[in-house]
Amino acid sequence: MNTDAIGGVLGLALTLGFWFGRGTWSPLAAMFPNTVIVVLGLLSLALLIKSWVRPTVQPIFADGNRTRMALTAVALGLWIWSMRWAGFYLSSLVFFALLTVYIAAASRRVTLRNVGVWVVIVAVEVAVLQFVFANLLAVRLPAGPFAP
Amino acid sequence: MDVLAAALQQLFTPYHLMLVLVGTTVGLFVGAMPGLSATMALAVLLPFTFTMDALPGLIALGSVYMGAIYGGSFAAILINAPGTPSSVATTFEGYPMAKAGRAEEAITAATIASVVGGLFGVFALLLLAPPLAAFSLRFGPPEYFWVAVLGLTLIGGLSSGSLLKGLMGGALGVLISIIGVSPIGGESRFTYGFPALQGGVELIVALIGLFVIPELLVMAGTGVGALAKSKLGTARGLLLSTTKKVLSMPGNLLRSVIVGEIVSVIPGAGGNIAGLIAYNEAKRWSKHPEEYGKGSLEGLVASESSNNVTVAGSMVPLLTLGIPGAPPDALILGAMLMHGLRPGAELFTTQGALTYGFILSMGVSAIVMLPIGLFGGRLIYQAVVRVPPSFLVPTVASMAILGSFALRNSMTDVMIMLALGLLGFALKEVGFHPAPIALGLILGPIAETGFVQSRLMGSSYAIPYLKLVESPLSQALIALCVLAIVWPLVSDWRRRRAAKVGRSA
Amino acid sequence: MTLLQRTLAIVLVALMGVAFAQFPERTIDYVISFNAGGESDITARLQQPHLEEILGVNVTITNRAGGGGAVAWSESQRSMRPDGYSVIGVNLPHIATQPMERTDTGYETENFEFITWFQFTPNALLVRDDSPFQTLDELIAYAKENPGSVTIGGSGSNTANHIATLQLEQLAGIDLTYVPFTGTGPTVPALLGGHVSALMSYSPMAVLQSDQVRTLAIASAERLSFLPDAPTFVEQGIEIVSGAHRGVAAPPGTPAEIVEALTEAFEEATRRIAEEQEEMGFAIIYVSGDEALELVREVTEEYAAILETLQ
Repeated sequence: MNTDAIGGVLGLALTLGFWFGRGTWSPLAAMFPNTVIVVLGLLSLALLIKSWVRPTVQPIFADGNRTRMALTAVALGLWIWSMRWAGFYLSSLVFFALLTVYIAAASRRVTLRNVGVWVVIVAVEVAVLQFVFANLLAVRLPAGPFAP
Repeated sequence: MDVLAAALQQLFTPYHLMLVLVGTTVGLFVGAMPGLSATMALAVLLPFTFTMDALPGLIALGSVYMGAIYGGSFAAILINAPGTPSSVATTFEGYPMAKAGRAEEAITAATIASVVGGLFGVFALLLLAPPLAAFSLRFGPPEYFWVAVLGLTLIGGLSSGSLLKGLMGGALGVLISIIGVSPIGGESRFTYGFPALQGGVELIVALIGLFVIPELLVMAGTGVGALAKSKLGTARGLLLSTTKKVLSMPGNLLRSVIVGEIVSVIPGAGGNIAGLIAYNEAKRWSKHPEEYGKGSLEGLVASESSNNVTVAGSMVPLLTLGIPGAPPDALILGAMLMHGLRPGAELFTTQGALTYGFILSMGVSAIVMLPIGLFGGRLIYQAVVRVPPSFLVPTVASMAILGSFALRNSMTDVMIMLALGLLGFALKEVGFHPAPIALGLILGPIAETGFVQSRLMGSSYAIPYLKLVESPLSQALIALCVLAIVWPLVSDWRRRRAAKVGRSA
Repeated sequence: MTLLQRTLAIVLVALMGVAFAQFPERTIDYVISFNAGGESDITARLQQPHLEEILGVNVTITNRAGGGGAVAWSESQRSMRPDGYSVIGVNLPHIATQPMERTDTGYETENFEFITWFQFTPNALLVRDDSPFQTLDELIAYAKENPGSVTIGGSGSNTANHIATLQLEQLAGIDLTYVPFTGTGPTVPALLGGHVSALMSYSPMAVLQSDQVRTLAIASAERLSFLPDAPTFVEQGIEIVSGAHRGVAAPPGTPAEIVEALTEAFEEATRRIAEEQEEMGFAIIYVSGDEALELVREVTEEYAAILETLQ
């Protein structure tokens, strides 16, 4: 893949994202962000030109199984999203266990017995984390309906 | 020196020494958790110190602070997470070392470097506080702007590979740091209709996302733990050989601690960039610059020795002028005020025994880091190595989530962490290193604030921007910036010419 | 216990709690919308042990910094439960000026149940102790001759510091240059290093830095007991009485009797730490009930009028 071209396009997309996020700011507040947006845009264009003249070509997302990386990312997203209403304990229990089984299954055969043992370990680990943060560090974790 | 003797006598009681020991240990474990900052630990501790006497209260706070900054190196080395912003540079070398099976060596070296840095900081605070404080006051808004620019020139050294991509990363980091309420004018910028974005992107949240999430996904993708190459069971004589290695670079150590001291006495700019600047200098002066980024012990030592100087370093403006140099110092100031101690000259005269006792306790804390760190570090390291990747990935993920949440108790921050992590992963795959982005994030606000304030300060001038270049210190900093940009070009040119000569000969 | 049994048990206990409510019966979350270590935070941590003793339950302090306080304030009005177990520190004029000046602020000034205002920090005009300005008059005279060349540092834009500087300009007919800093912290090195001519800061700074700075004028109605030598603006002929108030509020919809219980507890806690607070330069006040909302309205009107003239 031509990583320079992808990088240039990404850079331009981010430039546009920030450009259209501007508001009606006073001159002093607008000066700095406007300058940096223009700089980012120009650099992105330069990278696009370079991608055409002297491209860097290398494989991307090649360190490992792409599906697994994508699904792990999705799982992280769902984990965080569900924490809002299910609370830290419950959603962490579910997604921690899911990820454990899923990643383990990549390199070994997973029996039902394994899963049982792991869920217990996960339940304990998440409980310890919850205890340390909520009780020792006085952090108010999202409680949800089943907080211990 | 009567006062020092009195201070020592006060300090060396079993109760006080136990406080140092416990405080340092607690700090170490808190600092080792990504996202749990020294500031948080001190905030939780503060109400307890109200009920203690002044000296033990301050000792507890100081030791936790010292331990936490050092503990940040564990997360940096073992899971690529800068536990505190000051350990960003530690990830550059520490994590590659760990991946290559040298985690224990890295931890040992970080420990020794931290002890050296911590002790140097304490000595400087004892001996040089007044002149250092006077020096720190010379930095006004124009000077802050140039310090930030100087920091941004590090992008050249940090963007392994493509300078163009490094610069883009830096610009992106600056733009992300602008999100939120503007420091001057108080206007909402880039909030896209979300009130929560007024708070902007917290530095640590961004760092966790940018540094941890990509590693996490690669670990999940390969199904192999990052430390798979490490063997348990200590290599015999590792402590001795590593100590020798670290101490055999006195130039590097001295340069790094001096950089750490100078940067950390400047309030507000300090701690976060000390490690980066020391790292960059180490690389510039190194005989083996090609090892950097692949696990250079030199780079690791530079970062860790300089960032532990900052603990006592940021105490210079606090104790002499009542100016908290870094966020944790504000809590220490709170504890002092509660006990009727007012920063200033009086602190070093009438209250001398107490003040020096507190300063010396930080030195003791730095020393006890050695046994605690070597032992605690081993424990943490072994845990990380033993845990199979199927558990390590979700464990690190839950730490990243908790860490980014705990900072401001905000779910928004957790989502920002993940979003930046995914963006960072995509960018990393196409050749953008996260370091320049981090640099932009750290320095963007300093640069903008300094620039706009200077512009305002020059309002009555014919050309307001002249304020930026007025003071001799500004001019010196500008010279340093020019040097930082030109030097690599010159040395590159000389190397190329040398290569050419070599070939034709 | 199975999950179901446990859920049932929890629900049962919760119901009983509602039936025999005796506020408070569990941990109260005291949200501070600024970072740990700031003045708001330290004041709250001073109150914390006393509140726990008075109320008989745990009180935890949660820092939700961001946007000069706005992030936590908007969240408190949107999603905090109005049951008295969540309270939030509030600051004036911040909650008055932010919604006027910003987009996406996310909260309304009066949409809180104010428990009490317990602290007042008047603005204080400070110069370094070796400054040529011995009195306010000298500063004004100099500024008249050299318009714009006197720089006044202060904390933030559209803050009490900023507005007081504008008032001083208007009332004295001078032209000053206000330089905002990110909080009171960075203003001090700017003054001590001679980067600004003076600071418009708050009274605690005048106390904390008393051996390095001189207080030219303080914006309280009368001289403060803990700063007896500092003259007021008023006695020097400049009618400025202004500063920042600190208080605590419950989210909108919190039942009145719970707010009253909290008012009592906070007033008592304030009384117990009053002496320490005054030593640190904070003026202690007890503005509760209807007066609390009244104060918010007054400040809002006053600042709206001044900001109007700016536009």
